[in-house]
Amino acid sequence: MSDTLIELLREEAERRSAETFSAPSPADVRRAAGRRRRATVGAGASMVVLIGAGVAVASVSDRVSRPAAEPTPSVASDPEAAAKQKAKSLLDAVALPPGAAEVPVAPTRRLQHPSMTFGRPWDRVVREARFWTVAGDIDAITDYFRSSVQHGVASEGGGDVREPGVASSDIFFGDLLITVARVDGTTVGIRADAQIPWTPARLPSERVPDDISSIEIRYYVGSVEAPLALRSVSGAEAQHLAGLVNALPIVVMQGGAIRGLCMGGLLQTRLTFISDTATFIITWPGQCGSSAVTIDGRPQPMLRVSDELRHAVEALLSRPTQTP
Amino acid sequence: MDAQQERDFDDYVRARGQALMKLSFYLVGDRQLAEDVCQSALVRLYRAWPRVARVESLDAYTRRVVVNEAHRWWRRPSSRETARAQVPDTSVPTDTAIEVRDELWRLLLSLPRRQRAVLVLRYLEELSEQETAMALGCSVGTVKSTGSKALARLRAAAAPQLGGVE
Repeated sequence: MSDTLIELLREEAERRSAETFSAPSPADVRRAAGRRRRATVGAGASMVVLIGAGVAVASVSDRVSRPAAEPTPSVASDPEAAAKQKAKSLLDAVALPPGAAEVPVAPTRRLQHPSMTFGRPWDRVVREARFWTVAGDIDAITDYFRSSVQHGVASEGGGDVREPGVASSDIFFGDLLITVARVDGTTVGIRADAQIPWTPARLPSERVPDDISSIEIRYYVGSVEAPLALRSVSGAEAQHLAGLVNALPIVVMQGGAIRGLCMGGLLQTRLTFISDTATFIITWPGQCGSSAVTIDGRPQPMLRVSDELRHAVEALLSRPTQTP
Repeated sequence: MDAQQERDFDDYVRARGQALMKLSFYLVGDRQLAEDVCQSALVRLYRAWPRVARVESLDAYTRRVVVNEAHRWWRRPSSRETARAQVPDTSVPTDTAIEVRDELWRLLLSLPRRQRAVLVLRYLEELSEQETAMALGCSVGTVKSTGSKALARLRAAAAPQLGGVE
């Protein structure tokens, strides 16, 4: 039943939102930002306030520990190991307020999850977290972190939530995110998240073969055998496209889906690289960021399609067909 | 914010403004209010922009800001009554399917704000449970239980209209 319910709801949502919305323009937003900044001066902490970058940069406290040096991965050839090492180094070097004591788990539900996650959608991300508690007032602890320097980085902004029953703050320092939340009337919990993105390298065997002779480009709906447009390119054009495809990063699936990347659409673009060694095929739907790849029919890691590749293919497809 | 960041912000607003408006509309159910919510969210995004470029998914981050803004609106004393009063009668139902969908939309707007937000994010925006949890600042378990309750509530309320729909 729920499926039917949801389908009906989706249909109605689409119907009601079919008409184009008048979204605010960037200029509108800037004007409103100017107005609201003036209006909220002195308004206290009774509302959510996103703190702009640089607010605390000029007031680094004397209490701050010496900034830790940027860790240097000793395993540079292994990007995942390097990312793990960097995450550990960042967490080991968190400059904490006096009296902070590490605890093994989140001291409050508010700190059970990172308040924000870093990394591009196609990255793999090493995420490590540590927790502490400290006696004090949440505003004082928030101020401490805002005026601190973590791994050589001053606060880059963040946000506060001050509502009845909820008090927490996020403070960003490069790859490190500090979240503080009130545990009770006298204790504040601290969560430090180190989130280090890394992208797996593509293996040589996953690349377009060196000896390609031509590339067939098909633009189609439904059947690849009945394309709306068909082009064949060779020589320098083929090598250029091969280079663009070889430069694509691997898409990393997160939570079993790559949501947010795909704009959908039934139109498909397929490039078939023809060579004596192997047949490399890459296909992507519509404006989707991800693509399916096969080599001699064997599935390969999905690749994130670049705008450069997309534009190059569109240019080739839009070129008038030569008549014999 | 430097010139490049200003340009990036402009590009983002131009590219995603419509989608954010749509989300705002789903959350508050009224176009004019959706414009307010969306603009407030973009103002917050603008102020945070210099470090937002680092965020994993800008859309995920912005969705969270939009949901927070919608929540702020919902907290206003008269907001929910206003939402119901302003559900537009955009058409005179002419067949059962339209009637049912129309009623479902009204029921969606009458749900408690968190339940509505879960349904909007999970089923209209098609986010994963994890993404929904991030947008709402709660656990995946809460998303599951809230979504389940919301669907049950919707199902019960819609039963007379849905009849035999399963």
